[in-house]
Amino acid sequence: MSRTIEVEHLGRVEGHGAFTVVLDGPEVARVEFRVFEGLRLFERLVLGHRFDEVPAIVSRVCAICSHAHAIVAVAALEDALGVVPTPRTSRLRELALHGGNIESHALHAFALALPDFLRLPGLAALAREQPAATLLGLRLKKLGNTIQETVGGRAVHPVTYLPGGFSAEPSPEALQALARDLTAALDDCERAVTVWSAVPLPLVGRAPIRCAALVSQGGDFLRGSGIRISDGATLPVRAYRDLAGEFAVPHAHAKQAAHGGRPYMLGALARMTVNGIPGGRAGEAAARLGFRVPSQDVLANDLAQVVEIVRSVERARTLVAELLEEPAGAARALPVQPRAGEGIAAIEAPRGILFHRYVLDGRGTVTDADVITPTGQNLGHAEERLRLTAASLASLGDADLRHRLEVVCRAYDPCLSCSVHVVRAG
Amino acid sequence: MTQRIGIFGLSGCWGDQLVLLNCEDELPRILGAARLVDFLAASNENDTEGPLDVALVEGSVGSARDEERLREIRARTRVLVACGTCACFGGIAAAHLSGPRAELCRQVYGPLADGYDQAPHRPLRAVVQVDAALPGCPIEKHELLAALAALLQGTLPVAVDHPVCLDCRIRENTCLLLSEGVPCLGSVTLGGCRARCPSLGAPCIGCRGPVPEANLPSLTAVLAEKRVSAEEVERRLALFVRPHEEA
Repeated sequence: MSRTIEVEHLGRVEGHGAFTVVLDGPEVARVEFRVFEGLRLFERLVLGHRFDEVPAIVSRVCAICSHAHAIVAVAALEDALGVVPTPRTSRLRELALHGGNIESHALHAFALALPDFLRLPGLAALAREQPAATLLGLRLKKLGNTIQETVGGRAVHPVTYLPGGFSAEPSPEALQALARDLTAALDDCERAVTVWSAVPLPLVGRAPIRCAALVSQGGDFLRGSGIRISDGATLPVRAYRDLAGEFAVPHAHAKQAAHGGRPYMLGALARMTVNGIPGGRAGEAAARLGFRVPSQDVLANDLAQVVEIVRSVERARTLVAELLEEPAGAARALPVQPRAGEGIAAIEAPRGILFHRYVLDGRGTVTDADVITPTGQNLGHAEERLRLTAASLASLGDADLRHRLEVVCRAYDPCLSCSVHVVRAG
Repeated sequence: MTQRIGIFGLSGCWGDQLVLLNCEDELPRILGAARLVDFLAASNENDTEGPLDVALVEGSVGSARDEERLREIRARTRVLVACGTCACFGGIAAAHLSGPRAELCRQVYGPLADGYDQAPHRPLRAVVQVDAALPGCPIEKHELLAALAALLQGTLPVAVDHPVCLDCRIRENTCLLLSEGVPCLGSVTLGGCRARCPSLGAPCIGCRGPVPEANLPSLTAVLAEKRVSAEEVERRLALFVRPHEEA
């Protein structure tokens, strides 16, 4: 007997997606995760523009990770132009990445995912039934936005990022205010862990999860020196296409990635699977949440995001203290000499590794561009996990199974506007 | 009576919906003062067919599906507000491309591209009647909150019609264009952003769309005097201020 479980327009995710699962008795006959955003063609939009115009264009791929796109763009452009950022520039960019991580994870964990686990429809209901948890999530989210505004000038679509540095640096007063906000946030981090340690996670399909992340050391966990896959393989960032060899699928306006034909997962869970769970407050948070790696449960990504909120707050505190100790000014962008070249860079956006590549001509004009987003890479793995979940929970009724499958989709924290982009095939 | 509000996104980056969610201090009151009956980004249970008093729509019309959804929204709402530069003017997705659209899509997605539902991006007003427009990429928090206050009282928000230059003057900024020859588009761009970018040393890129009666020839002439090529001026204008409008 054939059953179709379908969600025509997925709620509580960024962007437009849908899925269909067809079961034949206990067997899964078909799984489709569809992305149906209109194509905005960003890598073609940047062609013909000069390198200093690029960050503001590509930040518009996505609102939540607009800083991530701008920051990896300037890194890739610096790679092409042979520009080395100053340590202060590097610290400020890293600080903004942590601001984005805090904001994105707080939004996803509290507003998008938590309602599922409390059997609530969404944010408005959460605000009525769980006002303290709602306000907590909003405070953490606001902190992430304040950090991003301080560094980038605006939380959504930043202003100040340039190859070579910043058009303006944050004032000492603004950094001091951040230091106070971050210290005050430590209590909220504890509260967030307390809330989430009591959240019941439903059963979904379980199997080993193949993860990929940038190899990182110490507190700078959103940047790294190469790519590592959890089965042990490593590759340099320049070989990103070997990892994310993409293929277009007819049912999605997005391209799926499958390294060696096998999907992989990116994001907070992947980062800690590859690089380990840290010590400090974040490590204590992990212990209280019962979060361990490796995990066979994609829902562990939700817990991993809560651990990373704590970790990013800790790291941001360190960075702000360092920034306040040194004199300001070294991050102001100096004029950059254009030259022909190719540049590639990668950072860990909240949802996983984000790659940008640009080719410039002698006048510094973009002649080719490549953007591979984490969600685009996660889609193949998400489909596989939907299949696994449907197969292992086929005995559930339609409504329950549909909800369980939605929960699996949301565990990837998909950013579907990002995932639709133009990448040159082959 | 509490207004029934719907919040929607067509093809876009989700930025304008995120600005609403970024009103962290005001959000609890907004959630209490209005009934957000159809808001897919924040809720899994929505009334997708009932009447609305206000519909906030972000994103451009970039597919047949977008167009159909927009017509459905227009049919059920009393007031339709275009939120953000994509909805108001087409936005960055409507910027000029380096070649024919169908060809670029095929370059990337291969022959499958021909089967995708996609089209040149248009503003909402190209398809339906729009009652109010909030420009910005993204919209400004203060403008959104003022607009919500007006809409919840049953009136329409006040439109901005001055250029970014006025905002720069109020902040007593040194003019990047006149004193440094930087290709700033503030003179032809809608203000209301408090000249954020010039105040942070970055030229205005026109992300709030064109100001009424924008004097493009004058701007081009001034920039030519500052040795900024007409080609560069065109390129910058082509992003937000003068979107590509296919017939």
